Formats: sequence, C-alpha cells, structure tokens
Amino acid sequence: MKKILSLLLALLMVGALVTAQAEPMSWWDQFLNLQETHENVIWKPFTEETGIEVEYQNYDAASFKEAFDLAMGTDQGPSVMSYAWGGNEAVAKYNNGYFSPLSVNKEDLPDYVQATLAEGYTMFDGQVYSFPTFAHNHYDLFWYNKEKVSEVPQTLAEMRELLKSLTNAENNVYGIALPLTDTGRMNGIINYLAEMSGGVYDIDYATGQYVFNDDITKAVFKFFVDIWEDGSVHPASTTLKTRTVRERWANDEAVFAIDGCWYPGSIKNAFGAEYLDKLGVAAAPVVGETRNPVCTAPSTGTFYLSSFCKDTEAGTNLMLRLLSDEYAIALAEAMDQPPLNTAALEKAENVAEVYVEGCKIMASQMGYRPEPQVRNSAVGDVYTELMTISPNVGDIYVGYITGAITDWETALDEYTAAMNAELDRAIETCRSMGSNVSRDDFIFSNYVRGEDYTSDKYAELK
Amino acid sequence: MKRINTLKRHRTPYGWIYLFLAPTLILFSMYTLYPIGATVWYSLTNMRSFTSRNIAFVGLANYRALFADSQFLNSLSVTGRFLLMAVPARFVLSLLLALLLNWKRCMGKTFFRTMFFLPVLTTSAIIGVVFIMILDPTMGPVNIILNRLNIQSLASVSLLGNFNTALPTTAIVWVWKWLGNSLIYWIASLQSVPDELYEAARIDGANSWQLFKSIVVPLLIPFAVIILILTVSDAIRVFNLMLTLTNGGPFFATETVEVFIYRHAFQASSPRMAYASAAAAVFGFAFMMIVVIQRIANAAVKRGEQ
Repeated sequence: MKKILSLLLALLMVGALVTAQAEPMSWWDQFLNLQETHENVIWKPFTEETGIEVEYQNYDAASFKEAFDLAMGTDQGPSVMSYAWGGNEAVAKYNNGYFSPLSVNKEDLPDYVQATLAEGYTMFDGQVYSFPTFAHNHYDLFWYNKEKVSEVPQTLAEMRELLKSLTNAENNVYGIALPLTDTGRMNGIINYLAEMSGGVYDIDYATGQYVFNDDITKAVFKFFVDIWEDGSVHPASTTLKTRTVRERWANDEAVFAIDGCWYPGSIKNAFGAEYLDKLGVAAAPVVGETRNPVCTAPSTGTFYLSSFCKDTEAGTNLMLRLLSDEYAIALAEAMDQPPLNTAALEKAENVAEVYVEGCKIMASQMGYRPEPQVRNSAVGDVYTELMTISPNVGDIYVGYITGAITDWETALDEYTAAMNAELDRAIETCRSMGSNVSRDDFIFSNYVRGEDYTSDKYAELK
Repeated sequence: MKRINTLKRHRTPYGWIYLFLAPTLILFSMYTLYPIGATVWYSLTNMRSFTSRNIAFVGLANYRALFADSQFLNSLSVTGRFLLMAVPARFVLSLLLALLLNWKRCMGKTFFRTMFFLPVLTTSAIIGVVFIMILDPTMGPVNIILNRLNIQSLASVSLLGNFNTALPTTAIVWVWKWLGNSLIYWIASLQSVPDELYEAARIDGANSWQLFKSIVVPLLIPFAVIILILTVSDAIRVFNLMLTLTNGGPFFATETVEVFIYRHAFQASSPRMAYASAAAAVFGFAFMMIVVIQRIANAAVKRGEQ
C-alpha cells in the first residue's frame, strides 16, 4: 500500500512539474533561409536564458496568410509571426485584433530603429507593436547567369532583344522564367517597373486616383506581352511559383529571374554555394533612359507578437533579440533580406559579392512616398474597409497570355475604374460610420514623383 | 396518475438506445449542424474575418452581390463544366473496366484491381504536385510523348497553364485518381448478379450483348443511381486537387465554387468571410437540390421496375 501511495505521490509531483513548465512560444514565418540563423542567434539563447522553448513553423508567403487566418478562427495561432501582408493593411490587421503590443517604449530602441517607426505601421495608439529588421526593399532586381550575359541593358526594348537572343527552345533554354501562379507577385513586378520608369505604383498622389492604365504602365505591360509572344518566357511559367522559378534558373533553363535581395541566399540554400559563381545582378531595365526610385510607405514590422501570445514580456524579450548586432551580421551572412542595420554588411564574413551588390542597388533605388494614413489616421478605417478587386494587373497579364482575355488595355481600364470605385465606396462607408475621411486625403499637391516625401512635407500641407 | 400511466404505456423498451446515440448526435451537431447554421448566419452579416469586430446584420445583401458577381457565376460554370466532363467519364470508364475485370477469362484481375485502386489511396495534394511535373511543357513525359507523336498543337502547350486546356486536364487527373473507387462499386454490383440468371439465359441462347442488355443493365440500375450520386458528390468536392494542381488558374479557368469560397474567405488580402459564406450556402443548397433530383429519379426508376 505504501509503495502505491509513494508511486502516486511521485506521479503527482511529475505532473506538477510538467504543468509548471512554461508554455513554449510558437514562431511562424516565411523565411526558410533564416531558420538556422534564428535557431542559433535568437531561439537557442532565449531558451537557455528563460527556459521557454521556441517551436518553429515555416510557410511560403501566400500560404502564411491563409494559415494565419485559419488559425485565428480556431485559436491555434503563433506567439510570434512574420508580417506577410501589404504595407497599408497593417491597420486592418490591428483593427481585427491580430497583434499584441511590445512591452517596450519607443525611446528605449536604438536611434536607427526609432527613425523607421510610424503610426499605423509599427505603432498603434502610441504603443510600439513592432519594428523592421530588414532594410527597405522590393523584389524587382534582375538576377542572371553571368556565363551567358555580360551586360544587362538599361531599357526594356533592349532587354526584349537580349531575351530573344538568349532563347533556344530546342535546347530548353529561355530568356526568363516568371512566377505566374503568384499573380500578386506579378502584379507587384509590373507596378514596380512602371514606377521605376517614371509612372506610379498604384495611386497617383497628384490626383488621388488609382492609375493602372497610363502610358508607362501600358509600356511595361506590353514588354511582358512581347517577351511572351517572342517565346522568350519559359513556357512552364504559368505553373511556376517564386521558388520553382529558382529551380529553372539553377537548372539553366532560364537565364534571367526577377526576385529580391534574398535570391543568392535562396539559391545557395536550395542548390549549393557553387551556383553563386554564375550569378549576376542588375537593376531592373526601364521604359526610357531615366530610372526613378521605388517609393513606398513607411515600413511595417518584420515580426509582430500575435494576439495569441500569452506572455508578452517573454515575447518582447524574444523580439528584441532581433535588434542585436549579432543578428544583423548573421542576416547578412545568410544572404537573405538585407539587414536594417546596414553597417552589418561590412562586418559580415563569407558573403557573396553578388549579394552585397544586390543590396547596394536596392539601397540606391528606395525612397518614401506620401502616405495618406500618416496625414490622417482615419484613413486606416478606409484601408480596413477596402475589398480586394480582381482581376488585378498580374491576373490580367496571365489572362492575356493564356487566351482568356483578348484586349488587355480595356481590362486595365476596367481594373483602374473598379479600384477607384472601390476606394470611393470604402470612403463613403467610413464617412457614414463617422470617420472624417475624404478623397482629398489621398491628394498631395507638393509631391514630386521620384523624390522622397519626408515628414516635413506633411506639415507644408496643413 | 393518468399521465404517468400513459407515459409508461408509450415507453419504448429501447429507450437506452439514445444513450448510445448521444456521442454521434453530439458530434454531428458540433461538426455538421453548427457549421451549417453558422455559415448561414455569417452570410447574413458583414463579417470580414473570424476576428472582425462590429459585425452587423445586412440581410440578403451578400446574396444580391454574389449573383451580380461575374467571378461567382464563372465558378458555378466551371463547377458545372467539370461535372459534365468528369462524372460521365468516370462513370462509364469504371463500368467498362469493371465488366472487363469481372470477365472470367480476364488475366491478372487482382493485380489490375490493385493498380487501379492505388491512386485512390494517394493524397490529392501529392497527386497535384506530381502531375505538375508530369505535365510540365518542357520536361514532362506527357509533352515529350505528344512531341514524339508529332501532335505539335498540344506538345508545346502547358496543359495546366493554358486557359482552354486546364479544366479538361484537371478532369482527366481527377478521373484517373478516383476511377478505382467507382470500379470497386461496379465490381461489387456485378458480383451481386446471380450466376443462375446468366446460365438460364445462355441455355435460352442469349449472346454476350443480350446478357448485358437484358440481365446486367436492369439489375445494375439501382446500383448505378447510387454510384452516380457518389460520383457527383466526389466531383463537387475537388478543392484539394484543384488547389495543388492549378490554384484555380490560369485566370480562374479552374476556379470551382469551393476554390472561389476559399479565395474570398482566406486567400484575399482583405478577406470577406460573410460573402464566402453566402457562396457556400448557395453551393450547399444547389448540391442538396442535385441529391433530391437524383432521389426522385431513383424512386421513379424503382416504380418503373414494379
């Protein structure tokens, strides 16, 4: 009897120990290339210090959003999550209760981090919710096989000719492979190229109107139509995603691929460092002779504590490790997203020259556009109300080359009209619910396209 | 007192059966009835996602918007065309194969039955990924064979990436995957026909065609109705295969209603849960109508037999 009682007591003690152990932190992101870096620089030291385990789950960017929305409905979300949505959707995500605030004040963060924080992106109601860990960037760099290309042209017309000359269908070699199953990415590629060519990404801030049917956007769209009709685009592109485009490039089936600074890291991790020897990078060719920077809104955070995080103190401890020098250097060495702390690029070792070159091109191409939400925080309500309109520019491109659409110019006109109608509807709905917003919030008379819109420019409008 | 006596008189001797039914009833309510009720309720609100706040009742607004949405009408059309292509193909092919594999002189019956059934056991997502490789326009074996056969019009086409070929191609993959299921049903039905009927007919001088027409077909009709219902039911639920094969593309060419619902509820950067719920409710209602029509047809056939 005594033995049984002792056994029961021992079991109870073990049970109590198990239940007393801290609940693990779950970490979801789309940065597969950074898994090892996070493991060594963030998670292991955190677990050693706090005794809290970190459980990792990777998704690609498109699946991440779906997985998180499903998790929100079933109470199974992560503690820490990467941000996989569009820049101006952060307010909507905040309004929908996706995030938890960090237990830290803005003043406690390094100056170079404070400079990036903005209400409606990384701060809400004056509280810090996140911070960017990556430098401001986009995904329109042209990566190519140096063994086949010595110089990348400056204009799209010259690029078309180059792609045509590189294509040899009989030997299964094509000028370029495009990720056409991800029409959201293709939409971005066309719009970024239009902006770099002197057009707009989506909204023309002189008029406050969405513009996807101006001459420059049409010229960029026509370039992609032409290279498809020339046979320069890998024919499997309509079934390729960003990751599978890299396979075609590594397998020498495509000479060019369009991707972000993380391309060398992705290639090295997936296929081996020897593939970096043939990798070259260039800025995207544009319609005319001059190239404008890509101007975006303030950066969103890279990671957020989600509303599922039960221990925000521990979560904040985990997140702040992302600001260490060690992490910035490790980021550069992983050749993934360029670190926010650009000094780390100089300190990093074993970094391919092509990665540093890509980061430098990117840094020279980035700027800030006006952001209606910074001018009037109520615009956040409009962003929450806005519904996704499809087909977007990327969808229209795929529709045209696969034979579903015969007149892409009319389709761009219709998409432009639908986006403007949706913005008007969202503004009207918000006004009817008491928000003080109007189309005028989207008009910035003092904005010069291609120039940085700094914080003092907002004051000029008042 | 009188009431107690009445209750005693009506008490069934199997009252405790409800105790054993309770787990099923509870789980059925939780996982079937509740989601149906919740879907209908969501469809009458302006709910954007599971975490939406300030949800308001909007009546039939989502349904009105749905029937004015050309993409929803397209998804209904895609689902309908997929049914028209895939259901007859699976139904007829599996019957022909079952007749062959039920034929006494057929060699290697067990081997072929196993081979045809293997795809049924394979996960749709894996089949989707494998078929993307098989149908690759440059390296895939299908296009290489088409090229060698000099069928140039198709050899250079990305069968899954072309607006005109994507839906028939997904239908062929689906038929291949599920053929084994119908095959098993048909073989079981054929084996239920008593040998004596065949023997008697043969003694009367019937040939193979007459045996099929006058004995097999009449006896298989009740089974055929059930197999048809099951095939339609399977063909409507093609979500996972479509998602991995084409994700509804290119340009919505393979966007069935299920993929449409999923896109609006979860894939869109700005989700519309209520709108997707309205689509789900319409789709569920349409499916119920198909089942009702099939049941009526089944009853009519049975009445005809009597």
